[in-house]
Amino acid sequence: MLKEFQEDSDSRFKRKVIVTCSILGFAVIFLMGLHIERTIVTQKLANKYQKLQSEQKWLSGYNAPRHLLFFKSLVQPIQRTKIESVRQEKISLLQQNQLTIKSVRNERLKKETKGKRLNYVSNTLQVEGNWENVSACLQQFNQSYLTAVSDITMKNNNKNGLVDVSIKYRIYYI
Amino acid sequence: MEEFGNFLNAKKKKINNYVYNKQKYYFVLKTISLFVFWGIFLEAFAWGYASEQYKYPQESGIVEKYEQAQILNKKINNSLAYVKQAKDENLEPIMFFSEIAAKKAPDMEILSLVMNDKQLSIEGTAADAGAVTAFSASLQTEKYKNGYVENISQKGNRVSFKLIMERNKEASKNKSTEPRQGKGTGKNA
Repeated sequence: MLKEFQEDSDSRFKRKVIVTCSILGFAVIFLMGLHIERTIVTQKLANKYQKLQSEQKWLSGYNAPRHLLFFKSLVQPIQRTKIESVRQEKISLLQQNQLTIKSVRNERLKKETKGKRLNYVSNTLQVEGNWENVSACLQQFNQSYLTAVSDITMKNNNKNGLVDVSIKYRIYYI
Repeated sequence: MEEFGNFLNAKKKKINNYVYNKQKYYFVLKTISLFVFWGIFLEAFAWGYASEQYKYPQESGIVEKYEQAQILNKKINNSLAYVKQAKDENLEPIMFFSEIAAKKAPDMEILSLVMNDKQLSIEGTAADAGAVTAFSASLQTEKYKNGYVENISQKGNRVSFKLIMERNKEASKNKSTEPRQGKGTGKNA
């Protein structure tokens, strides 16, 4: 049959067959490509669909306003530029509590380290006052800002009956 | 050459064969074309079906909401870690003063107190040595442990003492303020 086809002198028929075979060949290749592509795309769509479903399920149990409220309730570290104002507020706090400020020593900012831990700057305050005022001041000391008392020394002053206090504290910043 | 009863001569036979072969070619090609056509049709249908099957409503904004929730969770985790760091590094002197006030004997006098990240030292006077040791034993707090009396001496009718306690660094590590990691369930902020 093939031999007869080769020997056939009707060029129109031969051309017709060749063109049809070529078109069919391309169509088959195209079809195979389409099939492979569909398998890949469908798999991706299925994965995305599953991911979306699990995200929707997760979201149904997630209370966004409550989380936002919780986030706002957390004390945040200050910006580096606000360190001075926090220092001033600490001094105002001492004055509000009628403590006599003997000295204030603010350390220089260290080179910032990158990592999960917060950077901080240390400051030392030396004050004098009665026990009630010192206690009231310390109660309010770490409110509003992310600070920590890292060192504290208290001594009774026998001469005037007051307490000499040295407070070293850290101001955390981003 | 002509034979009776056989109306097809060799030439006509050849022509017949030729036409028949042509028909075979056409048949095969048409069959294959039909399969290919149906294949394309089925594939198109499968594409449509797959995209319809895995279609998710875009207007619901799940992806955006989920991403926002993840960002918020990350911020909360970071803030909790920051708060934990500050809490761990904070000596919380007021809490300790309350502890001392509650546990010391009424006639015991605290003259000086030094708190830092390594240890706590208390100097004072008491009526007797027994009151000092009892005070030392009762002062086992979360942040300070291994309390011991460094020195004790008689001064007149009272004793002066120096009490040392070591900072318990494990306590702050094991506290339950550990920040939440990963995606979480979203239920337990």
